[in-house]
Amino acid sequence: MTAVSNPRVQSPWARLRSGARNHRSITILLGWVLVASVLPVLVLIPPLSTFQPQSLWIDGFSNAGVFILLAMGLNVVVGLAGLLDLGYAAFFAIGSYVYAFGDSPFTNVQIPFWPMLLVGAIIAATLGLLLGAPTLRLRGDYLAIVTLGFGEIVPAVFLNASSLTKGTNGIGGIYKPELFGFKFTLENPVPYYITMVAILAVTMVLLYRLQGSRLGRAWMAVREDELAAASSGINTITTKLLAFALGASTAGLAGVFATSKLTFVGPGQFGFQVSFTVLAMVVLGGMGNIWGVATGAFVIYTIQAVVLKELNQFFQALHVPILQSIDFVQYQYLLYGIALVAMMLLRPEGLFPSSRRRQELHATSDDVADVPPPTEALDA
Amino acid sequence: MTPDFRRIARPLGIGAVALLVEYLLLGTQQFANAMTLGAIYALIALGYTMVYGIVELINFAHGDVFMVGSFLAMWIMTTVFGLVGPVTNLLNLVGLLAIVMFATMLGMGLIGMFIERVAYRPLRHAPRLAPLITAIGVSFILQNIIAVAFGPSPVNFPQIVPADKFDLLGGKIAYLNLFIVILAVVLMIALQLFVGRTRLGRAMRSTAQDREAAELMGVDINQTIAITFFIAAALAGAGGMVQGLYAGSIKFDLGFYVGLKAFTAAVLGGIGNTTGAAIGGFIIAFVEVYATVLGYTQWSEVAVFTVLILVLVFRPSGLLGQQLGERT
Amino acid sequence: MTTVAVDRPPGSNLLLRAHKVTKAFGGLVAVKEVDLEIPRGSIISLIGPNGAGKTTFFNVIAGILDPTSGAVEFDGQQVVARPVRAWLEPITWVVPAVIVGVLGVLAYQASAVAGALIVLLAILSLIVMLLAAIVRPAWYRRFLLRVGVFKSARPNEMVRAGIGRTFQNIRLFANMTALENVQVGMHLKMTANAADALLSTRRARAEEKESVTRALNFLELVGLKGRGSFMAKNLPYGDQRRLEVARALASEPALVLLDEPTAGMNPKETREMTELISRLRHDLGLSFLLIEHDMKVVMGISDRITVLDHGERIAEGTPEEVRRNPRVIEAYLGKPPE
Repeated sequence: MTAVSNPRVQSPWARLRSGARNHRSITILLGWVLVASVLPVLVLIPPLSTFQPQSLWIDGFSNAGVFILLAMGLNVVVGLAGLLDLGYAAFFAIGSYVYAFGDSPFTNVQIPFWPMLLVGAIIAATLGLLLGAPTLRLRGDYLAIVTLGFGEIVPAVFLNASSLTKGTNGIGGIYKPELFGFKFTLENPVPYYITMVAILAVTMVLLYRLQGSRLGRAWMAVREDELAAASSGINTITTKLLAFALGASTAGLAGVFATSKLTFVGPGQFGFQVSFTVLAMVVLGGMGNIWGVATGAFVIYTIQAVVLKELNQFFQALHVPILQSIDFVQYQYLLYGIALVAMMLLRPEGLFPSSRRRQELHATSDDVADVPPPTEALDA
Repeated sequence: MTPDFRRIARPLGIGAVALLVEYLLLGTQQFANAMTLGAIYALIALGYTMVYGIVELINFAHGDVFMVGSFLAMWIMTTVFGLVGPVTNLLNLVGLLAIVMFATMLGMGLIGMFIERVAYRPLRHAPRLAPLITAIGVSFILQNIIAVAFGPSPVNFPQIVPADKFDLLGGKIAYLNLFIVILAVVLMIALQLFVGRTRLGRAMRSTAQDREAAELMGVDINQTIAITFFIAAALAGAGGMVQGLYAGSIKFDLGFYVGLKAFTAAVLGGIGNTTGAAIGGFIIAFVEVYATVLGYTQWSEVAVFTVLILVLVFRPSGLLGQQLGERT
Repeated sequence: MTTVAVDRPPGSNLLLRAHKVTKAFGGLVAVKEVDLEIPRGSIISLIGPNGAGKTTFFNVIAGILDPTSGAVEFDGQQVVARPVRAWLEPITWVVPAVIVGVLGVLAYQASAVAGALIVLLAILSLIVMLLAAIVRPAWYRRFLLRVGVFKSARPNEMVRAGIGRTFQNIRLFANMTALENVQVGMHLKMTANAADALLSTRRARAEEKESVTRALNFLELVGLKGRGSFMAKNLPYGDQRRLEVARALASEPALVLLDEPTAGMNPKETREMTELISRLRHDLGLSFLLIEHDMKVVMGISDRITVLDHGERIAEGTPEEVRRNPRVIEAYLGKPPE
């Protein structure tokens, strides 16, 4: 803090930082390219390579990407606008079913994957608007309970309207994406991986732009103090509704991608556990902090998908009767629950706080340098 | 004297007429089902509404407290008393039910107080989002503790009340249904008396009105809030026990669905208003039973949820609630 | 004793007019038939002992509470009054959708496609009405007036009309910087929408840059130069009050409502705040409504003072007149001078 740097004699690192701040979007894109190319190599290194082969890792990363996308979307709702959405999986379900209806032998419709990404997002956002419009006028707690109900109802509708959705059996055989004649297959996880990384990188750029805009400030103002925000001229309901709809559209997008990869959709995939897991990712990553939430989602997904299973196998191999009988996967939601409570009580800023949240007293008089620090995108 | 009498008599009259109409519409069997369900929902809705009234928190974990209550009652019956089937001796049955209910209510009350102390009290002055998130966390902790301890599949609840029925106006009603409704009504009257007539009840009402003023007048806020959580959880515990007796089996995620319906009941009645919560509970139960009667059993949750949305759109303050201004 | 404003012809120079505003909570009448007029460019104060109904009256003017009767006009437009037929509003959302939906179901008998399209139209009309109710565009407000529904302006619509405000207990955006707090105040003066932000258009970037410069100007204006990157919650108390004023100014209002702007301040800070208010009136031509329970603060800077006691207006006039008014002395200065 005391080290006053002369702008003319900057260290290379400082110059990199200020360059990244001025060209945030490019920095984020480069960061994603870097991360995306390092990860597949990283899993070839021994402790990781013993868990599962590289192709399974890459496949897993695409699945993790779905959750990163969900977490980044929910972060707009919970972290930026301060609205508790407990039925987020409903919009994920809507995106998934939209793709299943739009590109599968079941309905005999064949709209390509790429426009469907947009369609899924728009339909999810529309339903978000419809649900949010009556409830966002009321106090925040009502939204929480209404979304909780909505999260239950949507899978129930897909389950019960069996003439349209095949009920419990779900819709299978959904078509996979295709790009200029190149067909995606289940054997080769790389195209999905690249697509996911591209979606994530673009989403992150857009979210950072929104966060630093007039709208992003309005979200934060509503989160901090709704009455003061209204008295500053912000239409709080419109602002909240936009956050809600944007979160929903991100989930819809994630649903389309996930379904195109799984080629199957059923009502059982969208239980409350999904909403809850994504909320845990947002809270653990640090509400309102885009790259922190992305990191949190990646870490939690990896723990859930790989580490817990490895632990099971590890303890199985030890042949200690008590440890052998413990199924760690069974405890994961209990752990999330404990983590949520503990985080709120002990570390509400999340595990990966942004320097913005960490900032206590900024003793410089340099007023203009007030954009959120984008260099952190590199770390994600 | 007369206005006081009218104040009580009119709603009672309306209620009686409404029940009579429902009875004629639904017939004995379904009417009894609706009343029983309504009694259970009302017991849980009271907890939501009391806690909301005093700390303005939607206690998401409340439905799960109810679920834990039914497991606690089941555990006491099977493990402590070794019960499996019906108890035919009336005196034994009443004694057992009383003991199990008392123990369940006490145990759940203590758990409710513990949850408040650990998860909510430290966050009383935190941003609004924080206690809501811990509440959802607590809800998951409770569900998964039970799932780990008793397994994820449904668990049988000992049917200690014989399935005997009695005749009423040409229909048959199980004694169990009668017992549940009477129990709920007795508990609700006891609660009204407690809130209305005792020193602690007065402390609760004044804290709900204006916490700071109550504190200045010498009310121990922490104690009052703890007692509110105790009572809410104890009522949910009683509800859990009768739910087990009524349904025959219980499951770790039971609290989620029933909790959502009970919350709807609380909102419908006007959140913060105990009488409203009780009335809301019965209305929701009738909505659900109508869905069943009309052959849309799987849609009953959708129907209840639609009621919730409609109430929020047209009358967010509920049937008996005070105005919750949309602009504050 | 005439003020500058009174010399001008009435009507055009009257910025705000509260007419017989009454607010009752249950049986308790907090404010009873209070009149208040704020001419353009003047500093008007509303004083009264604690519990006199000042804050209630203020909240009615600020669009937070609906009055039980009476109305508030701003710039010749009625902005606040008791709502009329408010229950009709949700019905207007549903009725078109229901009518069209029923038509759709009927049409379904004839042609499945036409029926489905009409039902879709019904859903669309529901969405449009719900969104209109939230965004409240001009056509929707006109439509409401036509069906006889009146609802008071929301706080954000008050800002649009030209009224800014501060709060008695400071309400800043605690976890945002001072600069961002002021930028939020400029919300209505900025035009970049979500699409501009997503595409990071040249226009949006230019506007954003300009907003920073202007926000810094506002900070400087209230004496917070160099504090822009401080988190609002980390500013000293007096600075937080100034920041609130800067945020209110950022919406470029014609009238600023200040709710006890010197509450909790020491004498030096109080003096600085009153100087700031006079300066802003002079330099920017703003009007102010001050709410104070401390009479000394408002004596020096007010053009006119209204005194409330037990919800009623007991005096109105220049500071001299109010100071000499026996009812004021009885109700308010009755206690020995400090």
